[in-house]
Amino acid sequence: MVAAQGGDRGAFDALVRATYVDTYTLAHRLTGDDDDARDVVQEAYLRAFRGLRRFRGDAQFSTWLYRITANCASTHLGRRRRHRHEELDDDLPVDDPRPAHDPVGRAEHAHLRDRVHRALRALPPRLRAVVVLRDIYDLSHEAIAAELGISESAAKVRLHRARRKLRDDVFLRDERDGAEATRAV
Amino acid sequence: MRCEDLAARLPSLAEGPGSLEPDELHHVERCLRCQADIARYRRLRRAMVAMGAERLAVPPDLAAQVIAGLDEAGPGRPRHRSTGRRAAYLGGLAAATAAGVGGVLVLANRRRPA
Repeated sequence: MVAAQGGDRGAFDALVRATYVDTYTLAHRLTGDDDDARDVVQEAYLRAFRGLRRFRGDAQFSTWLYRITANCASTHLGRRRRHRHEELDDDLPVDDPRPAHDPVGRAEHAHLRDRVHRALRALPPRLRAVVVLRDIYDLSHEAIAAELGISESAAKVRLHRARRKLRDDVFLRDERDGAEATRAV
Repeated sequence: MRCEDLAARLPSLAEGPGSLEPDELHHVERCLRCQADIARYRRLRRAMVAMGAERLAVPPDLAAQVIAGLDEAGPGRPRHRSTGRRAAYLGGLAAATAAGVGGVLVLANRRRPA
C-alpha cells in the first residue's frame, strides 16, 4: 500500500489483482449489468490510482475502494438513465455461496438467497444502491449519502423503502400466493 | 397503538432492537403480526449480510483490462474513457466546418463577376 502510494505501479497492479473480484461484485450488484460493471470497475481503479495519495489509511483500503466504486456506479447509472430505461438482467452465477451445516438449512438458505437476489435486481437502482451499501457492505449512512450525492435523511428514507419492497417481494408475495392457492383448493 | 402506526418503524429494527418507545414496545410484545414482520426484516438482513461473503464470477480478462486501462492513462492524469470519442467528435465537427467554409469561399469566387 505504501509502495503504491509512493507511485509504484507494480504495487498498485498488485492491489488491483487482490481486490478486483470484490470490486466487480459490488459494481455488478449496483448496476445489475455485466458491461456496466466492467466500466464502473475500470473507472473506479482509475480514480483510486489518481487519488491514492489522498488515502489516509484511517479506513481499510477495501472500504475506501467500495466508496469510490459506489460513487462511480452512481455517476454511471445517472448518465445511463438519461439515455435509456433500465433493463433487468439474467441470473448471474455465484461462485462462493456461504455453506450451511445441514441439508435442509442449506436448501432454505439457498432458496432465500435466490429470492433476495431476484428482489434486489427488481429494485429501482436508486433504492438498490442504498440497501446494498448498507446491508451487504455495512457502509455508514453518512458514507452512503456522500458517495451517492444525497442527504443523509434521503439515504435513510431510501433504505427504509428498499427494505419494505424487499420484504414484500421476498416474503409477502409467497404468502399471498400460498393463501390464494389454498383458497382455490 | 395499531400495527399501522408502527409499520414505518419496523424496517429500521432489522439492524437490532433499536429504540422503541414504551408504548411501541408494549404493542410489539403482544402483537404477533408485528413480531412476524420484525422477524422477516431480520431474516432479510441476515441474508444480505451473508451475501457480503459471496463473490460473483468475474470475466477472466478483467484484471488485465483494468491494468491495461491504467497503462493507457499513463503516469499523469488518466485519460477518461470517453476522451477518445470526444476528440473524434470534435475533429469531425472541425473538419465539417472547414469543408463548409471552403465550399462557401469557392462558390463566392465562382459568382464574382470577371
